[in-house]
Amino acid sequence: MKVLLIILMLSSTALAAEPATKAAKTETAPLPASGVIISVKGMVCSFCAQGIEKKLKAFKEVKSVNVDLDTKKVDVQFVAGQNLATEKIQETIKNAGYDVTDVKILRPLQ
Amino acid sequence: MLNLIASLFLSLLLHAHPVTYEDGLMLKSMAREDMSETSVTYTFAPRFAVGLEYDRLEMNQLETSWGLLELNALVKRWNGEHSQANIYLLTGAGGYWNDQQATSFAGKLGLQADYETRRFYTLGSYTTWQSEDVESYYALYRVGYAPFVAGYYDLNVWVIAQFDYNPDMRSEVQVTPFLRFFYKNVLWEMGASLRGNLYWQFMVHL
Repeated sequence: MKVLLIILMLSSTALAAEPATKAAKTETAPLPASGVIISVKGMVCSFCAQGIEKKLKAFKEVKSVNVDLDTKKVDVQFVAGQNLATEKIQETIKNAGYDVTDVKILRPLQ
Repeated sequence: MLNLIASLFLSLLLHAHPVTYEDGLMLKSMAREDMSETSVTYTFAPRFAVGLEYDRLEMNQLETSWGLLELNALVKRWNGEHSQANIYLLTGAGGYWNDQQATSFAGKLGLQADYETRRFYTLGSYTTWQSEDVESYYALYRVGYAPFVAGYYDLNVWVIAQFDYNPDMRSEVQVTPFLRFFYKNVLWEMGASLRGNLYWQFMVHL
C-alpha cells in the first residue's frame, strides 16, 4: 500500500510538471510570423499602391495583401506555415520606389 | 543635338509616371483633335523604362507622325509622409513622317516634374521634338484637386486643369479642364478645351 501511494505521488508530480515545461518552451520560442504590417512613405495614390500590391503578391509565401492609403500601411498575410523575410519585403517596396518607415511582425494568437 | 541638350537644361518641367515599378507594363492612349499619342512602356529597372510610342501632331498645317523608341529615367523621387514628388527624364529616337511624304530621323527629349498628395496634384513638363524639317517644343502644366479622398479599393475622382502650348500647333495656350478617374490599375481622363476641343486619355498598368 505504501509503495502504491509513493507511485501515485510520483506520477501526479510528473504529470503536473509537464504542462509547465511546455509553457516555458512557448515563451522562449515565439510562433512564426503570420504576416507583417508595413508603413510606407510616399504611397499617395492607387497607381502607387497597385505596384506594391502586385510585387508582393508575386511571392508564393504571400497569401494576401491589403493596402490602406489613409494610414499608408500595407498588411501582408503569409500562407500558413510559410514566411517571407522582412528584409525581402522592404527591398521589394524600395524597388517599387517607396520608403519603408516601420515593420510590425504579426504572430498568431497562442 | 546641341539644341536638344540645351533645351533639356533650359527646361524645367509631360503626363503620368513615365517609369512605374520594376517589371511594370503601362499602356497609354491619348487623343484630341490636334494630337494623339499611343504608347507601351516597360519598366525594366526601378529607375528606367523603355517603350514604343506613336504620336500624331498637327504642326504648321501639316499632319506629322512620330514613331519613337523611348528610354525614360526617374531622376529623383521624394517620398513624403503624405506626398510624393518626382523628376523624370524622357528621351526618344526613331522616325518622323508627314502627309507631304517627308521622312527623316527624329528625336525627342524632355523633362517632367510632378508633385501629388491625396488631394492635390500638379505636373509640369517640357519636351523638344526634332526632325530634319521640324524643330518644336511642347510645354504642359497641370493642376488638379480631388473633391474627396478615396481609398485604394474605391473609385478616385480628380478635377484637373491642363494648360499646354506648342507654337507650331496654335498661337495660344490651350486650356483644357477635365475629369480624371482611376480605379486600382486603370486610369481614364475626359474633358474638352475652352474652345471645344475634346480630349480623352486611357491608361492601364499591368
